[in-house]
Amino acid sequence: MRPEGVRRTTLRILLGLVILGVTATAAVGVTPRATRAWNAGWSGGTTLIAYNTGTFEFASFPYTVSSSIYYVEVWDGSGQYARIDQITHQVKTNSNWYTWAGYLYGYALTEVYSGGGYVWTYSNVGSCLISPWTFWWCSSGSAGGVRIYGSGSGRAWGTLYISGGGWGVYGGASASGWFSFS
Amino acid sequence: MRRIPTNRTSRSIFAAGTLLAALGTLAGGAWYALAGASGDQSYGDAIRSLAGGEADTPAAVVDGQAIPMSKILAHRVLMAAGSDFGYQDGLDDQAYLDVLIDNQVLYQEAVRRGLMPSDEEVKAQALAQKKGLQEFIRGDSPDAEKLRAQFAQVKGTPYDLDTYDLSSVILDGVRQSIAINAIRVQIIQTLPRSEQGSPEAVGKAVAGVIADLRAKADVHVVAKLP
Repeated sequence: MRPEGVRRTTLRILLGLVILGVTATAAVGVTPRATRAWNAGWSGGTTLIAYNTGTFEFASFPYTVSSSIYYVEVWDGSGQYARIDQITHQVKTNSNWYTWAGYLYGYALTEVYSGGGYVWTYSNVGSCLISPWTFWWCSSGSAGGVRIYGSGSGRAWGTLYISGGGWGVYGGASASGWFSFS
Repeated sequence: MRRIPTNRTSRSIFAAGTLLAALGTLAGGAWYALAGASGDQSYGDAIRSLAGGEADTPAAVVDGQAIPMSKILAHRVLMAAGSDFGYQDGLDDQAYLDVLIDNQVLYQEAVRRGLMPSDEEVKAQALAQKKGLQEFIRGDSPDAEKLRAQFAQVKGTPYDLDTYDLSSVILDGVRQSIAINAIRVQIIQTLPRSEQGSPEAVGKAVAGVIADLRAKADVHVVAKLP
C-alpha cells in the first residue's frame, strides 16, 4: 500500500497538469465550437451498363452515390477554419443484386478545395471500395488534418463497376457533383 | 424550280407523295438514330455471325462441352469495330478463348457444387434486366442513345430486347452468369474481410481456382488461332 504522502503528491501533480493544459489551450485560442457543426455533401445517381464478352449480353444496374462530410468550425491564432471530422461515402444500388454480387464493386471518393484568402488547397479526404454483399456503404472515417479556410467546396465521386466472368463496363460514367462549405 | 400542281387530283398525288417522302425521311432518320450516328452495325453483324454454318465447329472442347468457333468470329467483328464493348485493353483470339474456357470450367464446377439457379430465378433475372435496359434506353443520355442503337441492330434475333426474358439464348447466358457468380461469391468469402472488396485480391483468388480446375479438366483446343 502506498504511503498517504505519495498519493497526495501524485494528485497535486495531476491537478497541475490539468490546469497547465487548460491555460495553454486558452492562450493559443484553439476552441472547437461543437455547437457550430454542419454536414455537407452531395447525392446523385446513374446506371452502370454492363456487357458480357462471353455471352454477348447486356445488363443494367442503377445506383445512387452520396458523400457526407461532418465538419466543425474552429478558431485558432491565424483565424477560422473548418475541420473535417468525419466522412461517409455511399454507393448503393436500387436493389440487392445478390445474383451479381460476385462481379460488382463500388468505389467512392471525395475531394475538398479551398482558396479563402490562404493557400489554395486540395485534398482527397478519403476513398474506399465497397463490397456489394456487405452494407453497400463505406466510411473513410476521420479526416481531421484537412482545413478549409474561409469558404470551400468539395466534389464527390462514386462509381459502380463490374468485372469477372466476361463482364465489363459498357457505359455509365461515375456519378459526381459539387457541394460547398459555408 | 418545283411548281405546286393546281388541279385537285394532282394536288392529292403531290400531297401523298410529300407525305410519303416525309415519312420516308422520318423513318430513315429514325433508323439512322437507332443504328447510331456512326452507322456502325458491328453488334448486329456479330450476333448474326453466331448462327449456323461452319462457325458451329468447335474452337475448343472442355470436358466434352464444345465452345463454338462462332463466338471467336463474333468477337473478331466486335474487336474490329472499336472499344465500345470493353475491349479497350485488347483481347486477341487466344485471350478471348481463354475467357470462354475459364467460364466453362467455372460453370461446370458450379454444377458440381450444386450452385445452379432454378429456372424461375433465371427468368426473374432476365425479366429484371429486360425492364432495366428498357428503362435505360428510354433516356436521352449518350449511353442510352448508344445502347438503343445496339438493340436496334439485333431486332428479330435471340438478343432482341423485346423478347429478352423469353429467349433461350439469353436465358442460358443469364443462367451461366448467375452460376459463375455463385462460385465467385464462394471464393470471395474465403478471403479475409479486408480483401473482399479488392478487385485485385478477388481476381487473384478466382484465377487460382480456375488454374486448379483447368489442370483437372480435359481441355482440348481445336481451333488454330493466330
